[in-house]
Amino acid sequence: MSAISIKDLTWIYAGSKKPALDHISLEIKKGEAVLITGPTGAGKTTLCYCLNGLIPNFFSGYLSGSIKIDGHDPRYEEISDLSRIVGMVLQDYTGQLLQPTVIDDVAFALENFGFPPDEIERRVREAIATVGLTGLEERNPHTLSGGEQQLCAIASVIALSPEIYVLDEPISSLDPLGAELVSGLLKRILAKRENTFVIMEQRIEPFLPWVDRLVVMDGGRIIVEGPPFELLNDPEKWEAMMKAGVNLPQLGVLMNELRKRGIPVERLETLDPIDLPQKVLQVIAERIRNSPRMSGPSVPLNIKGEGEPIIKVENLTHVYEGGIIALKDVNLTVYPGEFVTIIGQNGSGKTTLLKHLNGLLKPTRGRVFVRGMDTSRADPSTLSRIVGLVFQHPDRQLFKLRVRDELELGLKRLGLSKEERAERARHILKLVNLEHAMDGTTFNLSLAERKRLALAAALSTDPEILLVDEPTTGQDLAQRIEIMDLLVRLNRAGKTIVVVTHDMEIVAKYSKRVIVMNEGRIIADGPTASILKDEHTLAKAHLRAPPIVRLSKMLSEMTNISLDFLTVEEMVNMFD
Amino acid sequence: MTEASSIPLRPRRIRPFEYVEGDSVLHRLNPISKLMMIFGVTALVITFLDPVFGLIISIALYLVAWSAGVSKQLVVVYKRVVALMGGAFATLYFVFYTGFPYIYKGEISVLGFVWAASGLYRLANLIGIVAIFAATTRMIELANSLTMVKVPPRVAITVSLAFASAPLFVSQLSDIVDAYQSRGFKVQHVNPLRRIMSYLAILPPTIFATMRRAQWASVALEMKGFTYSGIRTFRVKRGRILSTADKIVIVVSLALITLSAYYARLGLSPFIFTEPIYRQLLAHSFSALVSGFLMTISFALFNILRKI
Repeated sequence: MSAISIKDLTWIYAGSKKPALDHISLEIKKGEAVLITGPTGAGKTTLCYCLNGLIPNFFSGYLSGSIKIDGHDPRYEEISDLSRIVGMVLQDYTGQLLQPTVIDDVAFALENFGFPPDEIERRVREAIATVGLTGLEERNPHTLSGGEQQLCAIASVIALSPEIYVLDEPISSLDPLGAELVSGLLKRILAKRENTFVIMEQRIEPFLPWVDRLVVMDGGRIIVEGPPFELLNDPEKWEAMMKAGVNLPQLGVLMNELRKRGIPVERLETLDPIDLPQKVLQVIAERIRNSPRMSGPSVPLNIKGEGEPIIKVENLTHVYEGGIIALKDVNLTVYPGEFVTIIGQNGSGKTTLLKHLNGLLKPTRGRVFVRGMDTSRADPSTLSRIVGLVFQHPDRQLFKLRVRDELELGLKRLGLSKEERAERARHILKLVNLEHAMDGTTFNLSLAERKRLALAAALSTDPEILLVDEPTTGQDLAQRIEIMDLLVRLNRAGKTIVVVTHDMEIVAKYSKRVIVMNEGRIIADGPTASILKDEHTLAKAHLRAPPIVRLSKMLSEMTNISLDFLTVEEMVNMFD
Repeated sequence: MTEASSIPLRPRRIRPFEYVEGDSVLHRLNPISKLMMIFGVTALVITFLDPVFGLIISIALYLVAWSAGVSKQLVVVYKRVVALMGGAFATLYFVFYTGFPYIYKGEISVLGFVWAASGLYRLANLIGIVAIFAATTRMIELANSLTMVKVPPRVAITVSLAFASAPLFVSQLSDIVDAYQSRGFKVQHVNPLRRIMSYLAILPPTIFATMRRAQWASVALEMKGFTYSGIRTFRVKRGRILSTADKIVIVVSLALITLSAYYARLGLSPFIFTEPIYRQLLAHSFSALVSGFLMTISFALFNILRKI
């Protein structure tokens, strides 16, 4: 029997002409797990809203076709009634956390549905333990890290034990090990085959090994669907997914590239390099041994800049009100023109460190110098001419209603003439690919565009240093690449870039130097390749190297050649 | 992350209007008697405008907060909320109550200054009593207690959610102020007019973020069965019966409300303590100078305290 039956479904939001969902048909059986992916604007979130009745009961627009959820038609059901059947984690999970403590928040839906107190207590404790939040029951969910907030939202759905789980980007804010934890616990729930799962996600890799079906959406339509490994091994469907901008698994990309080069490889059956067949590993190892590019000594990457440091942090300790130590004896030196990435579990002190670099926070102990200026003696307005800080949430840093005015805000501080300001604004907007929106309204831009506008606003004062907090969270592949390419261009133009992220593929691809933070301390600082090879340090920080780096390490051991492949491109270049 | 022991200690800042674990008399009071206390203090604050009264209430509130172990919470509220809004609030009072003759002459009014001080104290005291309530009351207890006095559960939950959203709003505002400062702009100007302009600048993101949050909160309420037609239950019945201490607090609060109502009917001067002082000042030809000096000192103190 179908848990979800969608036939020829079309939805157009009120005020829009373009359908968000365009003649979608999808049957999902009870006990099935379906992973839906696609670029931003593909219609994934809209489809989520259809599954729990937010469409058409909360959002207005035009709906045609039919949709049945466990035999119920959302058009004729209250959202709260459907919520007993469909448990949903919203993409913006922070809005879902309503109660002042974790335990009350997880219990809230159960209380509303009138469960007996004993039953509520049991379910709530179990759900909290399942997601690993034991010990944080009395904490305000909004004081938790982003990843933990996401786990709290997931716990409140697990506690309800709905027949259908609809999870909209449930791991977007989780570090790699946190993502694996969520994937693992959903897999365990699925094992009983009593619940149906619909997971919308850009980061598909953790889910691909166990979901029954992968559905790829683009432009409001389903373009490809089928068992994940069937799709990954089908060249035609692979191309379609590539074209749609799906964030495909690294080993899949590698196998596909090898096939293109006529290298015989077996069908892909795993996404973990450790499970790759020995035969495949030997083929790759052989190719590497014989590669002409392997000859000659490798030149170690000089990551240290020259001259006077642009940022110097000496024995920095920061204690928040209430006595909590956020940073402990942090020492750091950054030279002009460096591209540095700070990684670590959420709550490890990364953002606190960034806020010291532009003077928003003052050290409790120790000193921070930016261009030789002691930040405890300079206020942020002075430092803002040297340091630009781009926060994770763009909506909290855009102050004007019009895009042009947003840039003018910073440009006026430079004392430029009106013509110069207009020219400069145009130049910056072109740089962030927002020239078309110059006369548009700030809050009408998409999330990705607002992120780029926030970056443009920080650039308006032409700072030497750009600090960027989680630039790729919630972005699709194309947008991630677009933002990171922009940062690389700015770096090449001479700007010092410091990025905070837990997106390990981004770290591997773009960073030259990586700093690992854990519990307020810097536990490693060095070239990207050597840091990503250090599994022990990464695990301490709740991180894991991308599959290609792990494969590179395995191949190093097989070939006795020191290999530092950080991306698929670097590895396949060896075969050309 | 699979085990609680693997969760590292994270920085946890004191957040205004957030519950602080404790077992003081105030923590143990029934939330309803604490609500009555808010009404009592509010009645006093609205009725007795004299800054001297304001100062007495402020000291009393601090002592109450100290006895409950939440004085740090109160100080944080004063620093982050009152310091942010108080300057503008006091300035508006000053401008409105200075009077045209003074503005015309370019002089500073003593009366305007007294009104400004009164406005600042009243704002601080109203926010202070709410902060003490929030720091000593679990919102689920508030909802429980309200249902015990026959308030419909959904109304009770809505009231508790409203209180629970206060720290979120403050935290959001703090992020926005951080972002504004990162762009190179000051918020805490000494010049009150520039300060008001700064507040206006941070309005768009504040409004947008608040509307967004409200929209998603209403979606989440629907999704979590808030409007479900069945009978609601509570995980823990944390509502407390009224203890002797509760009864005393309620009687005192009612007495304060009655006293305030009676005082308001007397039609006395709003500044019974301060009036003789400013009358004396006005009697001197250099009154404007003295009041100007006082105002300069008060702004300096305000900014020094803000930095502390």
